[in-house]
Amino acid sequence: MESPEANSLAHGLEDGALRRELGLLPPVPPPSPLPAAFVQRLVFSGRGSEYFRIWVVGALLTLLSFGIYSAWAKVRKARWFAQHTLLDGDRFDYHGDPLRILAGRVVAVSLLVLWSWGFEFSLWLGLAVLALFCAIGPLLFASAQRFRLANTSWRGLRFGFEVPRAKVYAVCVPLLLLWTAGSVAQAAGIDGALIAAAGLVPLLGLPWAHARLKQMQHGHASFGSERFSLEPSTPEFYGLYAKALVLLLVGGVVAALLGAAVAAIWPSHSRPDGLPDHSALRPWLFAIGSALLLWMMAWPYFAARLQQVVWGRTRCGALWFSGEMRGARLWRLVLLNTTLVLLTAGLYWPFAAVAIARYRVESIAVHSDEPLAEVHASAAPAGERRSAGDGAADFFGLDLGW
Amino acid sequence: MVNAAYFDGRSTQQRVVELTLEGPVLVLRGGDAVVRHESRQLSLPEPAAGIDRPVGLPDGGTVWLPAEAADLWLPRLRRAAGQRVGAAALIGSWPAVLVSLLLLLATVWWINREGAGLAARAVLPLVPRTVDQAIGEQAWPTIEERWLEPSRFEPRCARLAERFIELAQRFEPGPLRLTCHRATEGSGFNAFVLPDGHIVLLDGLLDVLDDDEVLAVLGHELGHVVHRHTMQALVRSIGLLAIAGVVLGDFSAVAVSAASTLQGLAYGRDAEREADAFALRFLAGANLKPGVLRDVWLKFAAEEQRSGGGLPPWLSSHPATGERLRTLEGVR
Repeated sequence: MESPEANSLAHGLEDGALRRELGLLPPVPPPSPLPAAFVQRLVFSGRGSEYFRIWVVGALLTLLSFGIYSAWAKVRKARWFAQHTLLDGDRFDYHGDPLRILAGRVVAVSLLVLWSWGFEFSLWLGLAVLALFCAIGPLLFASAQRFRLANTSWRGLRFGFEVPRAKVYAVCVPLLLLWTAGSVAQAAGIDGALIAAAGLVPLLGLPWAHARLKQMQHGHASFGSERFSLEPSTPEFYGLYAKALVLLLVGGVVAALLGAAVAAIWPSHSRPDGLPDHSALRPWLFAIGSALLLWMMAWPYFAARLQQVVWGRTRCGALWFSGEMRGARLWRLVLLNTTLVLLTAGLYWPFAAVAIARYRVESIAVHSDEPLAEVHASAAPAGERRSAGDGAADFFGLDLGW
Repeated sequence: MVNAAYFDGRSTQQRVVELTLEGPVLVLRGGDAVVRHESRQLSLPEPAAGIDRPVGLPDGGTVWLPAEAADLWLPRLRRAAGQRVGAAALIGSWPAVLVSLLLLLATVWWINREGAGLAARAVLPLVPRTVDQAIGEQAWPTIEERWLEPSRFEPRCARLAERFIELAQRFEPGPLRLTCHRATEGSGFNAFVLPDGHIVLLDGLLDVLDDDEVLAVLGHELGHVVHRHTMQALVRSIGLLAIAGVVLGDFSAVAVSAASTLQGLAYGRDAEREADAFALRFLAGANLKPGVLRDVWLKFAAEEQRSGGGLPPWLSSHPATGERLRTLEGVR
């Protein structure tokens, strides 16, 4: 049930979104199958060699300044990515203020230290930190989202993100509780089958919570005075998670077969020539290898399908969108780039980041009935811009999904 | 004069304006209108080769300087406005980037070899001893419940504890405690110490070592207590995580934790060497021969042989036993 906020309630009943979510109306298919007269893909013009230079200088200055420069490095990276993203021939731009990002990072580091140490000292301190997370985490998340969007522009207009506080809590607190149920149970000293249950059962609610989060992110974003909207799609999120789970199982079977093969050709007996025997290494290699394999199997499909589901249901004024990322293509891209990063001891990383970002950006298309140059938006009335949380959200890896 | 795209910041409607640069003044002409902006009123972008650059106007509008005009005009506008380029100048030149790359690698190498240790030693006195106490007391019930059973050597353990704690006083170690336990898993050929000075001897050691040899092991553990190695490791691991996060952060959290774990193990091996050296001082203070420590390593080597190989050195929390034996060569 949505938060009882008069504005969205009336709005929801009027266009049926709320009634559909309550089950009073059958779900509508996503709008993407509509034939569009005009389709514009996003274009990415940045090259890995340019990003490499930005990355090297940023990392060096960050280390030499004990981390303080990281805020300026982040702004430069974000601006570079935005200015190399084009829609209908015009570039995006990023206007974030490094000092605000620095403030956000101080908050993020404090929270992270509290979180990783809380349960070490005592259960009660840990629970207090969790309560603190539930109290201010959602607000930080929303303010990071607002900071990111309000500082991004296209054709001279800013994006925006305005969401009622009650809705932020209603969406984020269940997600936080589901996500941390396992750690809390462990710290409370529950063991055996119960800990597995405490860790796994809440995961069943995760697709639901994730769908609500995406709906909040896209449903409260704006461009100028135009609002974005996202059709509810909880069943699709369950399908998405089920598919990722199947891929994880396949990855597990492959890892087990590989492990058995390695065990067969690498016997554990001591070597007769008296050289040191490194067979104790095997469990390590096996654990690292299978974690990498599992991640490699499932993540690209998950990311690609998530983009399809989310962008395929997003509208903004007279525009609608589609995410056309393909799991198999992203899988090959990630495999190739991970290999090259490993082979170059990390120096290839900026090139890999650009290759993957290009594919993700260029998979998003904008559909409209008129040429995009004829579809005009106007600025929203000047709103306040607060931003304590961009650094925090960056730290926890939250993003708008592209 | 160039044509440029202009957005007024109130709608997405694009207009084409004619731009000219008259000294420090940027002039926009569109239709009949002419607008002039002093360079210091403009929000100037950083240099970047080959793409249109956005110039922010004081009225909230944006004009996109075409790439070829930007390369020529931006330096002049910036000079007129008295703005310097800073880090963007480094990014713009390949030689500067290569020097930065070498400096980056050298900095990471130095932090790894020296800096992290120096920092940990500098920060350590700032961490009150009560934190060590709290961590040790907090961890003990879990460790005891999960991995330990009562020892089979109680009377001998009490005798050893009395002798050891008396011998240890000259090193002013703070509060000390010694208990013996049987490990529920594995051979239990080991001993360990908690940050609050609580040393735990496992029955596997007591089976194989005589009392003097056990004292050598206790001397080693006392080294960890006196040097506050556990706390040092905690302080270092936070610093390492931060540094790995800077360099690899936007690549992957897995890479960050793997790099800092491997490096943490290397520091662990250094700490063990420090504790080995301390064990020799402790033996001397107890009027025992340093050869006792060598006998301990020989028994360790025999135990490793029996249980089938150790980890390769870079994955191990302790130095290789062969290396420890070589250090004591010629000792009797």
